[in-house]
Amino acid sequence: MKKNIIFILIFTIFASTLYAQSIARVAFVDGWVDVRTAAGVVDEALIGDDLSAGSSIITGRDGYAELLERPSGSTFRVSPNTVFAIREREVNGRNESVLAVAVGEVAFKVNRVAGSGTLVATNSTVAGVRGTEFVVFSGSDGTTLIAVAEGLVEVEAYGRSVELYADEAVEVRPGSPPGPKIQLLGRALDFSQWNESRRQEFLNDPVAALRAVDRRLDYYNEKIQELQPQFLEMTERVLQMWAELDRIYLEQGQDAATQYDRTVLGPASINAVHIGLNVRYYALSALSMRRFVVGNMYAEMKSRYITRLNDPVFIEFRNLYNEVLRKFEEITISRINATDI
Amino acid sequence: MRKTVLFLISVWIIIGLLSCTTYSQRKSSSNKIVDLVNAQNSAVLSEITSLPFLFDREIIVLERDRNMIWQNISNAGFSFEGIISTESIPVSSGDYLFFGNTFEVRTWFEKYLPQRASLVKINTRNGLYYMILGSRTKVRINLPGGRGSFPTIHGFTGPVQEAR
Repeated sequence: MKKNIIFILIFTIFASTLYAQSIARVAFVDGWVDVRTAAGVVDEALIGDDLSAGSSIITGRDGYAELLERPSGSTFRVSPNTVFAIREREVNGRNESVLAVAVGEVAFKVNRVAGSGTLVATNSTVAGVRGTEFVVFSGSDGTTLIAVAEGLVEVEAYGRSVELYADEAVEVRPGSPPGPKIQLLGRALDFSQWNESRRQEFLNDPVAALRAVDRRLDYYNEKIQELQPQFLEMTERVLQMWAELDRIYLEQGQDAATQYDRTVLGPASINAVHIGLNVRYYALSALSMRRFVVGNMYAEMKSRYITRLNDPVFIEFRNLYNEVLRKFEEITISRINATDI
Repeated sequence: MRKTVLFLISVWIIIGLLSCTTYSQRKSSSNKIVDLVNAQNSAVLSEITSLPFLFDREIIVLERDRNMIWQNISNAGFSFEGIISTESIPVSSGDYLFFGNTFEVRTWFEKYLPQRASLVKINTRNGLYYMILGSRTKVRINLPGGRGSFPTIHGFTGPVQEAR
């Protein structure tokens, strides 16, 4: 019975990502652009494709896509060599969409009514947005650069927030709070150039760069480990409430049972689903970091050092990489499924 | 009766010859890839490598990263030196252990392994390498060695010296 309840809750969380309503629509595509659905199916992106929570857009070296968020009319312009995902998490008792730039460049033009905000996440930070134009660069080393053209963006990492206004930018390294503000003074930023500088810094000290990424992965792991017992406790309580519901029905009748379901069991079940949704959100964030940053770092190092695998730099890097993968397999992997791969 | 036996023997010989032809085609495919790697032809290697590409335990999804891998391998001067043997066998989802014993590698084999693929085992002086090759694709790019049909590359790992 307990297993059944846990299964129902997990299924509800999973099903909510599979059958969630459309959050954005593909408005324009050029070059090689793929859409990956919440069910894990990868196909060519076509104008008119709906994107729900759990889906993502992947652009090739000549790929470009424009997405239209519904119903706000906000637009997201996805540049080449980018992975842009729509995730979902619970904030203040509500399911909120999180627009995640896993790697690459996305330009946002966000329309928002007062009081509501958009959440934009990268591998190293989360930004809250109110009616604004800004661009997010997510580097292959896990560093983020956010530059604002208009409006206000609040960038947060490790308990430190920075408010960005027009013509301001900030860089956030993985495992660190946001850096100092950068005044753009009308300068246009070039993602390829910026990413190349990040790549060179990674190559200068690959072990330090991977260690920083490991700190960010530890943050996600801590969140998962913090929420998982709460999720199990809530499912246990829901299980007890089901037994109580049966008792009330037998002893007090249908009306009392309905009242109990509406006021006690229902809210508790929703709470359990929300906690489960957040566990999954952090697991998918960790997967993004592992796939697009750790994976890229390893591919870069292995291919460079393929003729000198006994080089001490590569050996030190590989040992840390093995440790990062071990933790990932131990903590995160059980919270994701084959459709996420 | 005698005719039947002769007929069956003929069929058996024909089947045997046909399977040898298939084998030699596969072998030829793997040799083409070995030649491209040894010639450090990263442009063609990138062109014929499909995505998602399995590189050791990593699933590569971006063209940029795939190209970077072959570019780096070529720049490093890597080649399959001193080949002792090359073997090509049909690949199955159970062969994921050659690349790594992780959930992601296992899932890649279950989800992305093409139906007609070979596992090519290249045993060299420097160690053992594995490649997953799929059906042939025609390549036509304006570079030396950039014309003809080559098998698609789906995975590459090695040198495998220890169990992962």
